[in-house]
Amino acid sequence: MRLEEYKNRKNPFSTPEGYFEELDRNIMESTCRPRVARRITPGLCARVLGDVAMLAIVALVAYQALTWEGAGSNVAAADNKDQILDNELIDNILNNYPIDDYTFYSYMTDTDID
Amino acid sequence: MRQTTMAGMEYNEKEIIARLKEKNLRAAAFSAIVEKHSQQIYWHIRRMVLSHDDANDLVQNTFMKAWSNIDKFRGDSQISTWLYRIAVNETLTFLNRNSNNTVSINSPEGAIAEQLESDTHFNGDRADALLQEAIGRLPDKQRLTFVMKYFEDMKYEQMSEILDTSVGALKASYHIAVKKIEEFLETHD
Repeated sequence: MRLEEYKNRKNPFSTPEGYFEELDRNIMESTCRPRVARRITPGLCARVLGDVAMLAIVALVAYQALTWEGAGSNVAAADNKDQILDNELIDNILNNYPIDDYTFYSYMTDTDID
Repeated sequence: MRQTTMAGMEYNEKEIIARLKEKNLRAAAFSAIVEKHSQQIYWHIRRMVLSHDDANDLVQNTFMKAWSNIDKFRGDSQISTWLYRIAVNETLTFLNRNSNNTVSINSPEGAIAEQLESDTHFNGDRADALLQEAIGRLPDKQRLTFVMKYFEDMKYEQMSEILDTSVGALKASYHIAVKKIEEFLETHD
């Protein structure tokens, strides 16, 4: 058969049925698919608020510990016989700040309260 | 040239290029380009690599590259020319990378026909397989020239832009390709 005779022949190649519709869809999905923004769910909100609250409490406890140690050293300087015990510091924190015993002890012992 | 796309939009090259520059209109413009050119690019690649699966991967890669480089397209050339350039690069890279696995000028005689006979997406007869065998034996760039001219009836000027080769060289390349194919067909008839 001569080359020019092939011009009138049908394309011998075929594609799976519905291929081109699927191809266009696949191309669009892999190129300009919009990025989905992360949804703010109540669970996510509670988790973020919980993290922020815990961070604030930790900062407060650390601040209190520092200032109490400073006061303790003054007291110790005034009266060498008295020593400030760790228990007093803890009692002071628990009495003066809005944190429950369980949360505080969980934090101090580094355990997960969840 | 105005044509209506499936989405009901009129395909106007200048408007599409203008929309590509607007970030909020870009995706819709690209969708119109895909709809307009995906089949043409697919068939060009398919004639080069023969296998549907390889052509499918390459056409998707072509459009992914076009999308990721869309900022670099300034509209100096036609959209189809730009897409063809990417497709040609993708195809030549694929053929070079897989030169051991794909049929080529160095493959044993009958390798292409054998590959096509086992392909569920090839419905041709022995004569069709013979033509593909003859085309597959051409060097890659000569094969590109032949496919673009013979099957796609592309103008030499556009081919020249795509392949970055002079019109004269392309004409010579096409005539050499035709001669080689005719000789092959004569000896294998």
